[in-house]
Amino acid sequence: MSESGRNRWARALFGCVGADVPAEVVLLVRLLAIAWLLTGHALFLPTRSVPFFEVLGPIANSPVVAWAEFVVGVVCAVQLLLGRAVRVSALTLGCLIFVTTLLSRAYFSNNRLYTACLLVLAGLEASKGSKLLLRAQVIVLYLAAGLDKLFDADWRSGAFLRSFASNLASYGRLWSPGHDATTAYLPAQLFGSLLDTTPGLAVVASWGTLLLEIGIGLALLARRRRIGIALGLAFHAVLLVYTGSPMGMFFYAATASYFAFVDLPSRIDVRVGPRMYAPLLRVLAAVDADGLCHVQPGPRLSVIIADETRYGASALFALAVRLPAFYVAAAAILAGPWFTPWSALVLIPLALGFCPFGPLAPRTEIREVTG
Amino acid sequence: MLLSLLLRTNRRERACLVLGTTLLIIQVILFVRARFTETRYFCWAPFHSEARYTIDATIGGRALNDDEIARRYVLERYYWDKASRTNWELNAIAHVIDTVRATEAALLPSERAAVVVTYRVNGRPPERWHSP
Repeated sequence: MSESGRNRWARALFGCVGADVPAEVVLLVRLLAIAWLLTGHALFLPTRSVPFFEVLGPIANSPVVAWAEFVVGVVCAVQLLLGRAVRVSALTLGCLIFVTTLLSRAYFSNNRLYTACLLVLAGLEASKGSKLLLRAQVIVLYLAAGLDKLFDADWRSGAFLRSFASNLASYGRLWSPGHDATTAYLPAQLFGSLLDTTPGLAVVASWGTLLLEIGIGLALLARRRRIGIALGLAFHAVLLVYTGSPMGMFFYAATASYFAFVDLPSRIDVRVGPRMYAPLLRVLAAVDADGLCHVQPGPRLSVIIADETRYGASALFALAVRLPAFYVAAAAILAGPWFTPWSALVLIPLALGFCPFGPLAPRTEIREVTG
Repeated sequence: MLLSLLLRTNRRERACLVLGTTLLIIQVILFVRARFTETRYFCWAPFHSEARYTIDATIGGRALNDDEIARRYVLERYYWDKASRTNWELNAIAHVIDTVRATEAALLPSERAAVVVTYRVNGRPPERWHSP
């Protein structure tokens, strides 16, 4: 492939700047599209049962409608993957998931509806600004999920978790498209037997879960974005490893939605020693589609982002986790048929990058001047 | 904050903001509604409860077998346990009952089945729902 061809593909797959929605929103919906395509959601016709409203009965079982949903869904997902017509494609795919759910009770699932909400709200976001709608959506999700558990007696007493863990240990892992639920799975078995031998642990784990969900929502609401995102990523990684399943779109949608709280850097200054200069330029030419990185020769590898300087391996991780290409690659590793719970290891660079999403925006100080 | 945004945005952005806010408000309303119902649709209640359940259905005195029941109500059987004839529902069991009820209601009276759903929610003692 020629260099210009490679650049075109890099731009299509990794480029986030230039659409009429913020770059973080482009990346968010691209990650959703990758998961939607690779998990097989886009490629299978939905299961049909009775619709939610009787009036939809005549069209619910029409093969024409089902095929139209399939074709439109695939086209929109590919458009989002390539960063084309982002607003329209996100709105269309989101609405399509809503309509498909209304047409079939069997299709109802929280993870798909959350994906639909994110897509619709991404399509409705302002061209510039703080991604208010998406942020509100993420906060509503965590607060509602946590409070629902708090209001439930079986969650407070640990009865749900005891029964759930016992059932999961006997089944294997949670089902997800393309994966078998009935293979024995060690983490689920270990946790199940731990709860059998230590019944009090179920109460602690239940309260821990519901308080964590509420805590993530409150942290994001109180603009403690780093804490909220770190807690959220840890929570979803633990769930992924324990259940052995991304739970359909849940893991992907939940983690991608944190981009609503993130500002991608507009410029990254890289200094690099003479030996690494040429190879780094080649790598960045392939993955830095938005041209964020400005590389200059220097005594050693250093990365400067918004006045923060890092050196050596730390600089490398800090650089990697600030490039959209990292998240595209991570989504492909996590969402493909090759997924295993150990795929979660791909998130480790986020921790090594320390403040993975860039420094907080400077707070505006309002000084009162009297007399 | 919402008001100031509404005031300083153009007409298209204002419409988008109103639509998006409406979607969020619907979720909050359904969350409140869920406090008074057994169902948990579109109110962010994943893993609200879990249930093992068995469906028995009879039409004109003939009992349907498990495959026929799964096809009739379009039930996914990822967690089907043949020995105990139980499936595992990870949403509210009311969703399964709703599906059975709606499926039967959509059929002609002569095609309707007598259905019994036996279920255990969160490991509690078994309960039973039947139609008619």
